[in-house]
Amino acid sequence: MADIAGYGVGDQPVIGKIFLIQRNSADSHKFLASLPKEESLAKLKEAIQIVASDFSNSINNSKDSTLQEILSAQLAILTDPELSSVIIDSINSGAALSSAIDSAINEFTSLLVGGSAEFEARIADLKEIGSRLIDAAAGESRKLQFPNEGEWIVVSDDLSPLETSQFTPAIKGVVTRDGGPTSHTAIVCRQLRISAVVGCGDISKLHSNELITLDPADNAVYFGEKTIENSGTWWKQLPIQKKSIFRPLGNVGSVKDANLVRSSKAQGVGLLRTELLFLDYANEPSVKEQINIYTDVVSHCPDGEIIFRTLDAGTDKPIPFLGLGKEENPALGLRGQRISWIRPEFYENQLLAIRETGSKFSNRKISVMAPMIANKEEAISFANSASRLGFNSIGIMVEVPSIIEEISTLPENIQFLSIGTNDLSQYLFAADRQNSSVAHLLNPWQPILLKTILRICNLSKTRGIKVGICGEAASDPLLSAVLIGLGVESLSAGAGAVSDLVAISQVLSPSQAEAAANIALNSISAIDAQRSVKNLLTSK
Amino acid sequence: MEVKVAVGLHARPAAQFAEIAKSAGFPIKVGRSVSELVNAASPLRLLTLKVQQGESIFVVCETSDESIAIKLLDNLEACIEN
Repeated sequence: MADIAGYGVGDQPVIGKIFLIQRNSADSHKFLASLPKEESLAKLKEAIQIVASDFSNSINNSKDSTLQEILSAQLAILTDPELSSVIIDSINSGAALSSAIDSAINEFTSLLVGGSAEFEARIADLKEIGSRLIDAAAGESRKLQFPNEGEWIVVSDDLSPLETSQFTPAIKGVVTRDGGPTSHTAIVCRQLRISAVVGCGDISKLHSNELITLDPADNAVYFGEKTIENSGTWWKQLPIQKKSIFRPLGNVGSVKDANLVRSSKAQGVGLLRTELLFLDYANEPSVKEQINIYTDVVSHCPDGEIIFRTLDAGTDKPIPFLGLGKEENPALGLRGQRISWIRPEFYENQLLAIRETGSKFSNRKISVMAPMIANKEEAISFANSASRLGFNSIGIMVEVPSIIEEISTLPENIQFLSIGTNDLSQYLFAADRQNSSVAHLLNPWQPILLKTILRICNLSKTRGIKVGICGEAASDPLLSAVLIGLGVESLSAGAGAVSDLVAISQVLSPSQAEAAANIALNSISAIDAQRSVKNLLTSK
Repeated sequence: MEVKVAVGLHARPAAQFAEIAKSAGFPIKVGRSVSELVNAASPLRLLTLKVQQGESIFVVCETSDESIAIKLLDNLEACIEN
């Protein structure tokens, strides 16, 4: 029995000491106390700007006029020069930034005590402004110092992209309270090949410097040191097959990914995420700029097919120049290809730029596919736009379950399907990818997800089109055998997981894949499916 | 001038009052008496006066241009009316 259960990422058991990241004002205070005077003053100015822009955004995004007035009043207090001048005075007289903010807030709150209820209520506003200022001042610049020596397991509520980017080689594992199999932390850990157990719910029993053992293949965390039988590399020492039964591909979102995928000997790129190339663009890149960006990436890709995916953005995956508003349910809103309803010219330009890029690499197969296609009308509209520009390898993603019913009647110019398992799970199980309380439903081993993939493969066979998988599920070495057994023709894994996938493609036999698929399909739960397939593939 | 707004010189009226005072281009001070004046352009300082509905406040404009001062006082008064 696991001491703590979550969702495992990776399959290598690891043992290490806990590096606990605590987030509270105490930490922020400690960091800010060490700043010299000049830096404190600069930080203060920066923090006021950060919090003010948070307020402005909330005001702009709010539809409630009362709330807007309250927020505007708070913004007026935050940007009141009298507040900053009191803080600046005490910094100049030698106070640390955090205590200068605290004492200024205390000074003003003491003046409000004793008024009517309306004035007393402003005390809470002021205190909130104070703590947000301290967090903003500390947050942006707080450098986590991960250890360089030893073997450590990072334990935290969740990790930001900034934090994961600072991992040192001494970080061997990660445990988080929040998040699920498709959360940012899970994706990064898979990419870095760091074992993790995410979405544990309660991590309060994990203390700094204590030893713990992670067994991600069993979704488990154990206190202390525990010997775990390593099943992680089931494919090693199996005989090489004469003919590979699937194409191992890689997902690419940057030149760095492209290089890694190529050196891992992938047979192509199953998902070129164009949105990642645009994150830094405040304005829409022109067709010419896009061609330059794409050409750069393609020139670093491995030989073989390259599947471009048109811009997959949304209010939950923002791209600044699209100027998308706020939505109550971003996962169910204007997202993926749906954005072409409001910005058709961007999508036309993008297809044109991809086509032009392709013509520079005339000996390569450049394919294009659209995300979030929900019905036949959308599929036809996209396929016809691409056909008109001269694409001859056109596909759609299968992630919105409604399109599954139209697979057998899709038009001739659609030649392939690519399953995005993360979003397909989210929509199939009505489970928000951002909500750790429902993360277990997003486990790609869910037998219903596997049955749905089987159905997609069977329907595609009646039309004679190929099915690939580009979601996180393709990066799981055990699951890959199951997916191939279900009838999938290619798997496209995150750049870091491609070399394992290539090795698996050389040894996986049709009978092994079929047996794995059968066992998984007939399991009663995700955990059961994973355990049974692990037993099957690791027993000699 | 008398503060008529029901909640007194509270968050929202204070923010508006300060906004107008800030745009004046010359210093404006406010208080219950001429001996305890605060900067009218500071919503925070205005709050700390804890002025209730029905109370009167002094507003001091530090300018020699009387016509502008009167216009400004009208504007300030408007935002503390109901």
